[in-house]
Formats: sequence, structure tokens, C-alpha cells
Amino acid sequence: MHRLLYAWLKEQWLILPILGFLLILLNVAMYIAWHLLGGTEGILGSLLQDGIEMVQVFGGQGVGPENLGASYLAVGWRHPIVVAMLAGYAASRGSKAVAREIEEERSEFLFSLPYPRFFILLAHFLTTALGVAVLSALLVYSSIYFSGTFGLEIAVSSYKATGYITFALYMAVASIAYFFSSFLRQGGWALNLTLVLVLALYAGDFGANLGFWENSSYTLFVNYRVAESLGGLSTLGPEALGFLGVAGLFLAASMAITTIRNI
Amino acid sequence: MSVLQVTGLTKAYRRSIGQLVAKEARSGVFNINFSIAKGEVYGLLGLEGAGKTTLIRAILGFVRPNKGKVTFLGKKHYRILNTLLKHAGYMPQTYSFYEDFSGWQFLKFMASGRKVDPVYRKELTKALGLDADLLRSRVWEYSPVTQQKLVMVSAMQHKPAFLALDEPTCQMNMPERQAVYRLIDTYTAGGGAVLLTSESTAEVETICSRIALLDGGRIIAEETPESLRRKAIYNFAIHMDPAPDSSFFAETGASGPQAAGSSLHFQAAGDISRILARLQEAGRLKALDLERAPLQDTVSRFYKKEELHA
Repeated sequence: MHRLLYAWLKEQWLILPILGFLLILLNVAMYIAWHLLGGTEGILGSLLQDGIEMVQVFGGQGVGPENLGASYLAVGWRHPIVVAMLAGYAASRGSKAVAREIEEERSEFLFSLPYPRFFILLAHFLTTALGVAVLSALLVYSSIYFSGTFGLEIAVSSYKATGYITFALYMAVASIAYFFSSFLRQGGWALNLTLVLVLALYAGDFGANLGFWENSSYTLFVNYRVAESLGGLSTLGPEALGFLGVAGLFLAASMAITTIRNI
Repeated sequence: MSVLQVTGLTKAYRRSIGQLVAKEARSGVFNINFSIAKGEVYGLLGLEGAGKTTLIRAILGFVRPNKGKVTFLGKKHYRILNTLLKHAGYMPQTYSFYEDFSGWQFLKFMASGRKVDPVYRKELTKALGLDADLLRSRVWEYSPVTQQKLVMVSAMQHKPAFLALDEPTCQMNMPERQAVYRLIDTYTAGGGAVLLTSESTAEVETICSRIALLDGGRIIAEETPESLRRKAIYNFAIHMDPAPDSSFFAETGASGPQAAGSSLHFQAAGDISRILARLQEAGRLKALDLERAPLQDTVSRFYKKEELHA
């Protein structure tokens, strides 16, 4: 079993450090913009101020200059790069599980190993969970480090909570990719369908923030709630559980389909 | 007791482009029955598209059969639990590898969940000429033949009771093929059972104890190497003076004479020595070119598909 885990962790040896580095870099960029260029003074500082005002629009009440740490995190979390990196990573891992193995003609080796198929899929999912956990932790701890530059003290437990919900959110994204991957024969389709779904949910969330319709608690991209929670306006527990529930549901469906499908 | 027993196995593919579910199955394997005993090499001989790979994949559980049963060492094989694969080795026809794997890493990966004797594995790699330096390099750098040898070792390294080999030597030259045949001989001498597919009549005649002829997804005949050899068809191209007359063809059963310049082409089946002797009686044989006809000729001459499929 450890050989399977080793193979799939080895597969990620390059992409994980790159993504991790980019996530930290994002915080470094914000640090430079905010702190070294004079806070809200200067061009970059005012751009960031604009960003915070955007967060007020996107994120609703509780986010803004009066709650700078939360705004900082909201900007960071909502940043398209973060979404692209984490959602892209999670979707790509999921799409590789079955569809890509079939497409690249490795599936007959993999599924000739003496394990039930659902077990093999579960092992793959575990390596993805490890990757998402590492990236979520990097995002949170680099945020803790750099948010000190804003001069605001935010409880570490709040950061940890945001880490948990980030993990749960992107595991839900990954599990949807696993689901598509379990019945498609091409990894690209599984990846693209997941990303289309992610974009649709994101657009739905964006529309809600602009007031076109009501916000839903259980869309995949309600990241501003992270910021709300840091402002003490909501609790993360139910949403994290909701995301984990989505992940569990899609994973279970993927395992069932992979077990019965023709490889 | 047989190692593997296949009873009434059917896997039909009904879907086709533009027609979600066709009324009749277009391809697959139908009502397959055979068994393989310990120490036996059972060959599936057929042309491309005959259903050889589908049959192996249905037996191993990669695809779900519509009907039929696979019994392994007296117990029913449950596809969902992969019960057969713990004691089976499989060499697929087409494959690729994880990009960064070395030969050793691949062998270790394929040993997951199985007990492997390192000494036996070393014997296998040595027998196929895979040295330690080669195994330390990346699999992607290997030639197709070396990759095929590596996959062969991965299928055998855990000393399985049953070995499924899907065209195991299709890319190999004769010396490499012979090394594989010797390995299979040693394996069956130790009590292993082998199911082997091939498009080469010569190959199955060399290593198989029984041969099933597969065509259109059905076993149209089961032969021994000797009986198949008796049915072999040969293409003759001769240059002789005088050319053989019609009595030669009537007596020997040779058919399809066609003159091409100064040479004469014809086909004959069965005992070649008898035909050669008769040719020498008929005149002075100046040149002779002799080759075994493709499998398709044997199938169409000796097996009436329409009757067998009915």
C-alpha cells in the first residue's frame, strides 16, 4: 500500500512546492504593497485600498478598513490566483485518478494490483488530501506571518478555522473531479467539467454579492464568509461540515462507480 | 483440479456511434468455455479484433461479463474484490508507465500487496537480460522490447499460480522470444498455468499445449500444436522444368496455381515433405521459395465460420 502512496506523492513532487511558493509569494506581494510602500499611501497602497473596498462590495458587512485583518484575508482568499491555484490543483488531482490512468494506459497495471478498486481510489484521494492540507496550511501560516505587518492581532484559532474551511472547500472541489473521473475515459474532460462547475459556482456567488439574488450558505465559493467569521459575524463549523459532506458524497459515488465500471 | 475454469463467458459490446444501443452485439466474446490445468499453457490464437484481449480482460475482471462464470482454483472469482489478482500475474498488450519510475521502482510498485522473493526476481531479470544498471534508469528511456521484458518480470515476480500474457512477445526478435519461452517453460514446470494470446501460429505451436482458435469473439476450434501443424498452409513459389501438370495438383491437393514469369505459385497444406518428394519426381526443381501462409488463410480454409457461428 505504501508503494501506491509513494508513487502518487512522487507524482506531485514538483507541483506542490511551486504552488506553495506562489501562495506565500502572494502574501509577500501584499506585504510589499501595504507595508513597504507606505500603507494606504502610494499607488500600490491605494490599489490595495481599492481592493479592500471591493471586498466590502463582494464580501458584505464586516469587511473593510475597520476590520483590516479580515479584509486582508478576504482579498487573499478571493484572489483569482488563489482560486485558480487551489481549485486547479484539486481538480487536476481528481481528474488523474481514473480517467487519466485509462487515457494514459496505466490503468491495467494499477487495477491489476490485488486491492479492491475502491481502495485504490481511496489511496489516491488520501494523497490529494495531503496536498490540499499542505497548501491550506501554507496559505494560513504565511497569512499569520504577514498579517502582523498590518498591525492587527487576530486570534490564531481564527486563522486555523479558515485553514480548515479552505481544506474542506477544496476537498469538495477535488471530490467532484474524482466523480467525473470515475466514469469518463479522458482526464481532460474530468478536469474541464470540474473547472466549469467551479466557475459557475463562483459566478453564482459573485452575482449574489452584487445583489442579483440571495446568497446561499452552501455554494462552493463563499470565501468571504471566512472574512466574516474573522470579524466574528458567522461560524465556520457548519459550512466546513457542509463542504466535507459534499466531498464524502462525491467520493463515495466515485468509489462505487470505479468499482463497477469497465476499465 | 483446473487452475482456471471459464464457463459460458460472454462480454458483448452493443454501443456504436450514432446508435446508443444496437439490437445485436457488434463485438465482444460469446459463450467461451475452457479450462487450464496446472503446468499447462493455453493459447488463444486469433487475428486482430478476434476478441483475445477482451476475453483476458473479462476473465481478470477489467470488464464486467454479461454472462458466465470464472472459477479460479475451485473458487468463484468475484470481480469487485479482485480475488483472482492476488494469485495472478498479468501482462497487458498496451501500457505506459509513471514518468519518473525507474525499472526497480516499477517492479516494486507492481509488487504492492504481494509477496515477492527478491532472489526469484533477480533470476527473472537475469534470464531476460535486465541488469542492475539498466533497472536503475528511467523506464521511459527503455526500448519497447526492454519495456516488454520488464512488464514480463513484473507479472511473474510474485510467483503467481496463473499467468495471463497478452501478446507477450509481439515486439521481440527471435533471441528475446526464446528467452521468454524458456522462462514460461520453467514456470509451467513448477506448476504454473498460463493463458497466452498471440497472432503468431508459430509461437503458439512452440509453447502452448492446447490452442483455441478465436474468430469473431467465438472459439471456433480447439487444437493441439500437432493438429494445427497438420493444417498449416504453405505458399510455394517454384521454378522447375517441366512445370508440374494437373495430376500433381490432383494428387497432392495443392491449389491455386498461378504462373508468374518463369515461376509457378501455389498453396498446399499438411505434410510438406510429401509435396517436395512429388515435385522432385515431376521434374528438375531449379528454385524453391517456401513460406507459411498467414493465419487468415488457415482460418478460412479449415474452419467454416458460418456453420460454427450458427
